[in-house]
Amino acid sequence: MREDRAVSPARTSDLLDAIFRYAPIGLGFWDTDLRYRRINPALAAINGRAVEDHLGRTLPEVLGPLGEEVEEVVRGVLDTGRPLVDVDVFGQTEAQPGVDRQWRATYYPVGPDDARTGVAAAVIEVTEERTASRRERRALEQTQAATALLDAVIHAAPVAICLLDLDLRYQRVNAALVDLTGRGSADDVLGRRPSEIAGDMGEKVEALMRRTRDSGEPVYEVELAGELPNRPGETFYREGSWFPVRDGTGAVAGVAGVVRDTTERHQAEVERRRLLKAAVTERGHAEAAQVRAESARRAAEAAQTEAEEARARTEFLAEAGRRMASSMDFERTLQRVAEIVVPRVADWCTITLDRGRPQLEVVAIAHADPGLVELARDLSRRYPPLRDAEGGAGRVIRTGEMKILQEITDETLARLAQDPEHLEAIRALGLRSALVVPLTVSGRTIGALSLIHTREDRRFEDADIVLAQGLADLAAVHLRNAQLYTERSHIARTLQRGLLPRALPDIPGMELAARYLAAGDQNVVGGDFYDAFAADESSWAIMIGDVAGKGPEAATLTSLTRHTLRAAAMHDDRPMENLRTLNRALLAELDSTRFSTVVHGRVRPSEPAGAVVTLATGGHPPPLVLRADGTVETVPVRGALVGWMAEAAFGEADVELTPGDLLLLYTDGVTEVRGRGPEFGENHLAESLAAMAGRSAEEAVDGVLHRAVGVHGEHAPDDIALLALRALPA
Amino acid sequence: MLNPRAKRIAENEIRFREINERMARDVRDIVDPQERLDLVCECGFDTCRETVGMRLGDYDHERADGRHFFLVPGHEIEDLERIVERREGYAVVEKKGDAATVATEHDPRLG
Repeated sequence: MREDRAVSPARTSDLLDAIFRYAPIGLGFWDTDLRYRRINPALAAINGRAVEDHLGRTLPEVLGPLGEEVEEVVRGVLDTGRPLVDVDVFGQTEAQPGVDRQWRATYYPVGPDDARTGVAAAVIEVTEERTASRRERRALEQTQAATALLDAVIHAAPVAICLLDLDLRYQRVNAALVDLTGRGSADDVLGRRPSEIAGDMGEKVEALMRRTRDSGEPVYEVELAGELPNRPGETFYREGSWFPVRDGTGAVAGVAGVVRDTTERHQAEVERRRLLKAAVTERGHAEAAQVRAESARRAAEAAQTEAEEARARTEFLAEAGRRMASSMDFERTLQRVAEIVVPRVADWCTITLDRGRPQLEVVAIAHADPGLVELARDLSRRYPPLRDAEGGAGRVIRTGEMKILQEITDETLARLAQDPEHLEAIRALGLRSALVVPLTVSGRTIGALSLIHTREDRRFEDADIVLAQGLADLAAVHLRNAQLYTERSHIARTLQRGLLPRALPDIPGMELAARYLAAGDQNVVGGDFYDAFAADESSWAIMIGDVAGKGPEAATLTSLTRHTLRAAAMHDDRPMENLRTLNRALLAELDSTRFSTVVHGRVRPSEPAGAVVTLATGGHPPPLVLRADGTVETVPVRGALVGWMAEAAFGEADVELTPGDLLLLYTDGVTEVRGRGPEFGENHLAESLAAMAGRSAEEAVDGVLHRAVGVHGEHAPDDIALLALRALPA
Repeated sequence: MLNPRAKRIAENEIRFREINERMARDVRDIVDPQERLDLVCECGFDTCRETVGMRLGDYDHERADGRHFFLVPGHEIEDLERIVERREGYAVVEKKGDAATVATEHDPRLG
């Protein structure tokens, strides 16, 4: 300090100049008007102007707004006389326009209080220092904030997060990860390896971490399953990603991991699959149950349809049977069978019979279109089916096997045709499908039932086949019965004709009439008979009778009775004697259970008119006489059954017939009325006969027969025979 | 030509096969081949409500022949099918005659 005081003012000025010139800090001096009086290059450089641009100018004139702020500070120092040390000044100057800068300035007054000369300032730029400091502070703050954020994220994260060192020991974990390990706190986890704390699951996790550490490659979203030490027997699922943590040099410094507990998700997936499988299974079984229910319904419907069809078939066959049974005429039965079939079963039906000849005989034809029946009949006449034919009825009759053609092609027709003309004719019939069924009785095929469809939309179904077979069986039986019946009827008619006279004789002055009505089936020979014939040149024999029973045995007895009596009458004109002869003959030929009732008479015409009739009777109802005046008399003659016993007695009486009188011989079929006594029938006959007074013999027998049938109804219980002899009026 | 009963049964069995095929297809991605499926008995009885337990892997094997169907033992219908294999819990039958032809024609695995 002493040495300073010893320096001369010149030296002081030089020193000040040197200091101003070379000082590395900015130096300046403002006068009391606050105008620059001195400034060194360093401060001028800070302001971005030359030294000369400052001198004499105020701070605002040099520095603008910044100058105004500084001027206030400088004025305060000037006014107060107190220095201001290390004042921070912020702003921009023309040295670096647009750049915020900072300076540290010290302002102090120059001169004593009473002789103040101005204010001096020392300024240093601290912009870079301050910026570096702020950066450092900001970096520190950022680091602290990032760390806080990381901690917050780690702890708040819903997933487990961990950081492990190169030895794969946990360095940082969150609560979620602690939970996944099954440990109580982070302290139980930090510093340990996964395998040390998480057992089976930890070993698997550690293996993946090791792979990450060693390869430097991350592992993403790997699912692991395993057990935990504190939960043995349970399987837990984890899904994790592990990645390397690198230091500033890029070297792997550790391993970090993000892990999720997927056990619930896995269990949910297992449950979802189980439910899906159950749903699929349930749906399948429900569909199957529906199929079975639908099938059962269809089966029930089919059964019902089948039952209805069976009932319809039964009804159809029953109706067919009734129609067939309504006639025992062979030809008519065949035609009825054919007509029953059309159009219900087929459009066309033919019945072909095998009569043992090479050519078969088409005996019945029915067609849905009646106009085609004659065409078909003509065709069958011209081209009768052949027994040896390759197909059709001939084949079925030969084999006895049904044949069905669901589609008749032109080739089929060509094979069946006998010549080109035949082919053209059957083509014109429009055959579409055919079913040929054998008519078989007792193992022998007697013919074939052919059913044909002519419409395109018709085909033979199983039910049709069943029906056709049933019909064929039924028809075959009826055919056989009809054949037998026809044969028997023929025999019966032949026999019956042999038991009755072919014609009645002419008796002078007399007229004869007879009627015979067989009861029951025409194939049974009746037991009644009558006869009238010329016994000699002047007399005629008449007889009527009834033998016990019906059928062949009765026919035999009738024949014996009639012809014995006829032979006797030819030799003896005494009726009663002839009955005795007949009695002996019958007793000689037959057993005692076979007998006859007979009225036998001898007619002797009288002159000029009328006749005397000698009547003998054996067990027969007494003859009646219808007189011309209308009265009816019973001829009083009785006798025993003929052929019953050897000592039989027969009555005999003469009856005189005058012109107009009528003698009626009859059998008991006229007077026996079912449910009534004999008197009713006899009285009814007498009344009927009385009503015929004045009528011819023909009219009389018709009238009596008509009224007798009227009493008996449709079916007389017994045969009826009437023989009337009338004396012609003069 | 199948009679109505045989036709109905054949149609049912084909439907059951279709149902089982759909069940197997729908669970194929979610079950293990060794896992057992409760499949529909492919018999012709309308009253049947039973199931056939079979592993998915075995199922594919049994479906290799379009004439084959599997069913609960004793559910076979002798006039329409014959047993060709007996397995644990089920029998494999082969359709006869026209029924076999129909079954093969409708085999979904031949399409």
